[in-house]
Amino acid sequence: MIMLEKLLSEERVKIGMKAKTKDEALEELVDLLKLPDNSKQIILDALKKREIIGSTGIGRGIAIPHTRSTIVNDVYLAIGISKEGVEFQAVDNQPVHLFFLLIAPPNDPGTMYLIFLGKIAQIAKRIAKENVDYLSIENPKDLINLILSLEA
Amino acid sequence: MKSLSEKLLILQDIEMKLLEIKSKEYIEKTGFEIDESKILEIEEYKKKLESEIPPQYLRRFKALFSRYNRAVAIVYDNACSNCFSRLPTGIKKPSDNELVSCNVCGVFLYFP
Repeated sequence: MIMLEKLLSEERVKIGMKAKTKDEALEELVDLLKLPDNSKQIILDALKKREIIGSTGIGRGIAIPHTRSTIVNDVYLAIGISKEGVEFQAVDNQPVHLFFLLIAPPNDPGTMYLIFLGKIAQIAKRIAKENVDYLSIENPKDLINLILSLEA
Repeated sequence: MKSLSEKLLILQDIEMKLLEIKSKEYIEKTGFEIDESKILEIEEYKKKLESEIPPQYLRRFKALFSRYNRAVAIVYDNACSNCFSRLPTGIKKPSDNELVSCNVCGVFLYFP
């Protein structure tokens, strides 16, 4: 069974995002991956193009920006919480508070990217459906534990 | 100003994205809504980018991508990230208008 745990690390979780706009939110999330500047710009470009086709703000305060890019050599997941909320043109037009950023190389083994993306979408739906109170979370470790508890 | 290898890499990212959003598996697994009319915007950007790439390289890019779904790979740890072959000694990051290919699998190489 493929677990999200292998992708989660406290360094890639940010509680208290500062972003106010969609572009700022994407940049703040990509910054968590600590990529070289040039790679960061290529990833941002790919993410923004994906957003043109349809917002990855799935509603109920959650967004899952994602892309494949040739510039990375591994699958990356970063998570951010914005207490104030970010205008992300979500499908329900509500501000987004919880972000899952997923980046993957073109040919990751076993197409894990799609499997992880599906898992994250399921977790997000569960958070929305069960009204999980993620905004009261104060540190990355607690958010990771919450996500792992919802993965099953 | 983007280098030629960076333009090819971005073009590959766009091609992958277009393939992905049109795949049944992607829609089924994620449930994301796609605005079909907006795909044209991406196609337009792709055309503009293609116009900035010399025809002989663009032809080779298209041939590789249509055959292997991969025409560009990054150099990682002095190896091609497509076939994992070590690069021969002496292969260095090319100038902005030049391209280097993997001598084993043939894809264009991007040096991060």
